[in-house]
Amino acid sequence: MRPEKLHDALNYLDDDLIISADKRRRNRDEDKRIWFRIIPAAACFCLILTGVLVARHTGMLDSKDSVVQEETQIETSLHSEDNGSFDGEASQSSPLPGVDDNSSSGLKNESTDDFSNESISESEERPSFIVTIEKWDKNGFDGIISEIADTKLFPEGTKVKVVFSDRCRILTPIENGYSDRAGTPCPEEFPAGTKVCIQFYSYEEKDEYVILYSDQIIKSKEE
Amino acid sequence: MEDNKIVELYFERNESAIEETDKKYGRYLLKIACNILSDPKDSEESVNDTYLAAWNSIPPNRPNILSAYLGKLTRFISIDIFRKRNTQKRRGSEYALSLEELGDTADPSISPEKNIEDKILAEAVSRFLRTLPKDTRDLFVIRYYYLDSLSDAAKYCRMSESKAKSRLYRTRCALKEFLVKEGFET
Repeated sequence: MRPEKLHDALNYLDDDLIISADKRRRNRDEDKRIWFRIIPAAACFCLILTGVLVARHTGMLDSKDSVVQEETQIETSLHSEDNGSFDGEASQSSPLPGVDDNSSSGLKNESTDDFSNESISESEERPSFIVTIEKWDKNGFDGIISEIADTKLFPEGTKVKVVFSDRCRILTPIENGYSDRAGTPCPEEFPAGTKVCIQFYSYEEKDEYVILYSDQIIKSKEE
Repeated sequence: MEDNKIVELYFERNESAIEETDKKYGRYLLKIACNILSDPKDSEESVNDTYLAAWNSIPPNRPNILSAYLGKLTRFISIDIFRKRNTQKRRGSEYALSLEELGDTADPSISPEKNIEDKILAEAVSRFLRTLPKDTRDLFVIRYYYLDSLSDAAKYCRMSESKAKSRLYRTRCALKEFLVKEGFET
């Protein structure tokens, strides 16, 4: 028998044997087609997810009203030496609109400060100063650094202009700690002469004063 | 379109029968032809000849499974075209490769049998294949009826190429023994 004869005979193979084998071929081809659809879709999904994560990380998706939810009562001290020490690695959060990128703004990372490591503040690890309010204007207030809190970026007596962000939080002392609420401080609540702890995320040095961009003000318990 | 509706179009001598056949089975038939002929032009010719053969044979034939019917026509026509071509072009073909493999089962020195005996042989081969596990049976049909490459056949049956190769070898040897027992000259 020639091999060709066997091949010719296969032409008369029962249909069900042929169909069964063809089903297997089609299933495999369909699997391939499905994967060719799944892989690009998965790749697109990953790209979108990456874009969203990057946008959230850089704050592009943050709205005016969105705030980070923290505890409503925060126990902290304003004046003691146990104040939280600034570790010198504060994050560079987004500056307020209008900040000149070419100016000496932002948080300096030079290790010129001597930071205490006695205790760490329970609040956000941002640098802060005790500032005495002198005069209010439409953007915030003018004041003077009356005490060093947890950073020695600027000495006592430095004139400051404090500008509050839209996401400012106000901490006021209550019986067992502090109440925490969102809002922009006003002269009525913090009149001239009030000593407050200003936490700032960015600063800008001018000739005669320093602008502190703040998102948290803490009223002193002593006032 | 369902197979029975396409067959009805043939019976009505409606020329859209060819169009519908091509739409549904064109790629399937082309693959069978390419496996045998390896030449795109010859393969297209084979598929076109298939449509003509189908037009001429339906009616009176009323195939139950149109894909199997058309597939057999294409296979038959493609092998015929292959044999008429010169030796040079044969080399790249899976058909040529499978002829060498099936030489394990058949002795080329004996002269060809008549057509009716092909059908008797086919019936015996079908009986043999039904004794095999489904995987092995499908693998054999995919390799020697559809003439897919060893690599493709292995993928379709979800096994490695080496496993497919050894399984096919054992199947060919078993087929030879079976045909000898059945009284066929091998």
